[in-house]
Amino acid sequence: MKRLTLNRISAASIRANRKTYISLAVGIVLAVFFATAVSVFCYGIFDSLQQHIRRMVGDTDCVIYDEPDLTDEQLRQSGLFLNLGRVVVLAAVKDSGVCLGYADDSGAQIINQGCREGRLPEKAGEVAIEKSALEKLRLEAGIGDTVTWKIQPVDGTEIERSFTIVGFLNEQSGNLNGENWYWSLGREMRWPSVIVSPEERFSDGRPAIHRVAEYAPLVNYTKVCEHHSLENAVVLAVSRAEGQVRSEDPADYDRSVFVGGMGMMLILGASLLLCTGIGIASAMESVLAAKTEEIGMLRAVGATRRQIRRIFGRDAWLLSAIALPLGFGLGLAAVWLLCRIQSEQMYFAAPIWLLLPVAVVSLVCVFLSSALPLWRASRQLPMGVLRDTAMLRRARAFKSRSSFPSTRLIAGRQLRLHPWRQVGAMLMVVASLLCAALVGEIVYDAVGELARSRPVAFKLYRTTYDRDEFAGQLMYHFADSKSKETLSDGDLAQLRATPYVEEASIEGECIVMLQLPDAALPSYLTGVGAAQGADAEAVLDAMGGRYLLREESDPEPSMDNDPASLEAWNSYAVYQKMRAAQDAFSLSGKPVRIRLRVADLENADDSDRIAEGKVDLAAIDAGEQILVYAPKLYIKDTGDLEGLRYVATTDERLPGRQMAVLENDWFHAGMTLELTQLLYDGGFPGDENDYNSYLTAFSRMKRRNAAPTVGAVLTGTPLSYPTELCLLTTEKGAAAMGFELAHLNEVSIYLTGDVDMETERALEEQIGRIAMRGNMELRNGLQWWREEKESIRAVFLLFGGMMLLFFTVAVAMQVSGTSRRIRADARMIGTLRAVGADEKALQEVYRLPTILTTAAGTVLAIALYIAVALWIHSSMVNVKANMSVIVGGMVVLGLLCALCCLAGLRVRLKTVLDRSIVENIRDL
Amino acid sequence: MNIISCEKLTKTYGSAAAPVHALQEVSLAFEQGSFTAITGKSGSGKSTLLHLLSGLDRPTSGQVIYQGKNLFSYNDNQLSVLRRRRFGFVFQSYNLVRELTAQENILLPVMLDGRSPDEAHIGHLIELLGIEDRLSHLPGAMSGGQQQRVCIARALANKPAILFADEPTGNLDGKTGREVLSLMRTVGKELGITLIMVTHDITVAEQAERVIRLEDGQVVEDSGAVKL
Repeated sequence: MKRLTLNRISAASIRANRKTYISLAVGIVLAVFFATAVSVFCYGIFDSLQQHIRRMVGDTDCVIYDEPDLTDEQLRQSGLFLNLGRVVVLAAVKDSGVCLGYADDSGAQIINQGCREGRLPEKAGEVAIEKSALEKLRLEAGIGDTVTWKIQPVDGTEIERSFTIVGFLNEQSGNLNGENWYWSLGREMRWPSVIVSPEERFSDGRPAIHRVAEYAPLVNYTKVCEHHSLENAVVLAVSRAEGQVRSEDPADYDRSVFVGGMGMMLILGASLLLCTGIGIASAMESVLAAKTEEIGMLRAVGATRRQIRRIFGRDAWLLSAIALPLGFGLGLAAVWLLCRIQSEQMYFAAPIWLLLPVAVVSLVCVFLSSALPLWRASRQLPMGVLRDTAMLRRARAFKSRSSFPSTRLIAGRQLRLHPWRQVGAMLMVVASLLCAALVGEIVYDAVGELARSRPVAFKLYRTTYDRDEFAGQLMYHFADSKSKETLSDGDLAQLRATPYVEEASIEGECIVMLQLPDAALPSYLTGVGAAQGADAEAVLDAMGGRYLLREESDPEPSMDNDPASLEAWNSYAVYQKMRAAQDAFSLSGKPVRIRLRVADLENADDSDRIAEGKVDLAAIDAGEQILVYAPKLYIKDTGDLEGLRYVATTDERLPGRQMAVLENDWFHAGMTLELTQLLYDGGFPGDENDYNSYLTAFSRMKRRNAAPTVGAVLTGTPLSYPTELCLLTTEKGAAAMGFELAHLNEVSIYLTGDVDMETERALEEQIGRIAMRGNMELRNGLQWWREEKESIRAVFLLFGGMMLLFFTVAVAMQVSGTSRRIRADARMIGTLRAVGADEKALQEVYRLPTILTTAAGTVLAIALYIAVALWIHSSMVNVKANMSVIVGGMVVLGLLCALCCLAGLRVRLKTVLDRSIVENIRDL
Repeated sequence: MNIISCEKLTKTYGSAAAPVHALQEVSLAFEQGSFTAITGKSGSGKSTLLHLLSGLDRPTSGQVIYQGKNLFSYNDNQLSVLRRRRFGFVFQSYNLVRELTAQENILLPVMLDGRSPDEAHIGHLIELLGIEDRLSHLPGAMSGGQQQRVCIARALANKPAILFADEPTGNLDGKTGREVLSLMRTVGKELGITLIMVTHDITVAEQAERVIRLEDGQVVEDSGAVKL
């Protein structure tokens, strides 16, 4: 005869109560599944991101640019760095911004320098080059080819050299280049995109030595910048979230990205664990409730509390032993499947050091979930259990009634006696509806976006800016110069002539002068009012400002170093330029500089932002009309120590103290605008702020005039251009007005029809090469379109699957919970039937908790969704439309859930009613 | 006049290979207003007979005729209506709904029927049964005797035509048992109710007008058999 052990008793108990234990097992499987899936998913995303960042910037934490006076020894002794390396820039290819240099061994290791094809140079005369650099140089060359360049060594004399290409580098220079942050670095000190051998020597000049470093423990960017040896150095930090250099400490941003992303996943995981934990607790509670008399009997015959816990707790542990591997397997399989779908975003990895804590957390969750009901059950006294004194205590508040709807009264009393019995199921309803809301949001947005936009096959973005053009803009204020490091007209023509290309739509801008009437200057354009103070001018620098209010008789301000004096001096300087421009071109009114944006107005949906007038594309293309974007601007105090201000087009949800509101008081549809474009071509006046120097400079500049009428005035928050006053026209419109598009920002390419993958790849390569010439990045819209659809599909599948899972579990939990109660209530059901309750009446007893649970879950889910949606999408205009549709969907799903539960209840009750009353009462 | 009768009533439990015949072709008739005691040893089939007569269980074969119609030709809802309007049932183990107070348990059949209770009648029953001070108590807070009184009051609340009682005094001490029995008789007489009671207690059975004794599922003695 086999020895009777607690394990055998538990196993027998599980076998005998298979149905009762199924929900408990499902709860445990789900807990482990979620814990595993969320952890492995998070790890996969995190690790994929880290690998991607490593390819972009290696392990670099910060870069110190060209500090020849600082020795490596000094830097090492500072204790700030764990590893330090050098990247030496020797020279630049003339007029290209493409630099040559090399990294020492430590530097190469830190930046993870490597070739995607070929090898690194080993001797003088060999180079490895980034493909983008080759394109910028407009060269077509392969490995083994020889190229000859005019080389400009740093601070040296131009020479000509030939090199043999031995490899193509991974694209890194754009990520580590500091020029966008510090123009003082100069084009010739850009991060090398051509690597030469350290043996390479040029006749003269000096090497610019950039240092790359990894921080020592507990060191951050702020500490590096504050160190006495680096106080005046040009140091940039590397953002581990972006894989790019930044001029401020990226730790907070990186952390926020990491915490934001991972935190969301962990919150999701924790919520799932909580839900399943409650599910387990609820199932355990029901299991124990059904065994109340057994527990009482065991206590009566002398079982200790510990023995009770061991006997009934063992059930949960035995189930865990079966459910854990199953949950693990399912979790890993789900993430593996997701990785297969999203192979470019993440990869599958499940290291043992990750799985072990997951197993422990899952077990702790199971333990805690089952421990509470067990603890409560074991705490009861034997007669307390048998007479259910706990229930009597809770029922003290019941008032006896002489008239009542019998079945509803029983249902209500049961709910009041066991309020927590439904919590697990309710939370599952909440979880399933929230997932449904998420799916709804994704689908709604995706469908909206895919339906709204005309598919852009390829899009070219500008990545770096020509510092000369900005320097010129600052210098002349009213004048503009055509960017040199951009696509040429020939490049654009080549783009448009590419096979399958139907249209290449351009977005760009230029600076024009807008002449204002001499009298009654509009406050919207001056940006300065008595109440607004001088700070507004600093913010609205691009629009106008204080110089407009200056009189000729006003004294010249002193050049003190305080902010107020600097402001006064700046406005004096602009005033001088304005006078020079007025005199050079015999302008009667005062000019302001204003940005003229060339945009794809045909595909922009601005209809809801038209304040007055209408958009007549034909008139705009003809240069007869122009659009004005004149938003209501809120000037805010950021509240930081430097007293910075910022401008926004919305007020409500932005932090900071509102200082002023600027509202359009001048631009109206139908008015004529006097516009002038001044184009300079290099060279600055000899004496800054000298009237005569500017007069001469302005007189020599190319000048284009146009006087279009305002077709429409737009306002609100735009999605496609910055929040500042600007004029809008099309490429044709700008050309018709005679204005030269000085700065090209984006090119959208539309194809004539669908192309196959092979053609798409060929087009991508061809267009990508053209993009590189203008420092532009190419986005494959067709691929994006496919990935977007794939991504939507994957997210839809993920959350749709989760929704379905939660929905099924919610229904299953409710139905199984009701089934358990029906089973436990068999005697009551028999009694009710014996005294004349029919099927309808009995259904009512169990219908009410089901409906209330689903309704409460639905209401809670909707409230949570609305709160989160309002919080997250607070700046989105169309959030209300989304919300009403999604809330409607949630209500429908809630109803469906209730109907499924009621159908399940009906089936379950039917099986009870098929038995005779005697069988019910005796529980045969 | 017969109010209820049964013909060749048979109930078999268990499998076909090992059948247990709880009742074998029992045919009986009961006069309106009569008090019948069904006795027998444990397992003789007396409770089974009571359950079949009251429609709480279905026979393997045979029929129960109530007011000229076979009880088992009714559907479940019709049977439910019959049970709450015409039949009352007193269980040995009381079977009160534990979430409802004594008063609510008593009113349960009336409320299930969607009618207003006859307050005078209910009040009389409560007074007669001596449970006025227990009305707001839940079953768990009452003694066995008190629960049985509540059960009797519930069974009589709808003024049934027949009161079926399954060992109503089985769980009670002698004195309480006698009191409960006396109450059932008194109320039964007052309302003209037919009382069919199962008991294995000879002294209880002796108080009945007619005594039927069962053995192995068959009637072996009937002190006052009436024509079917």
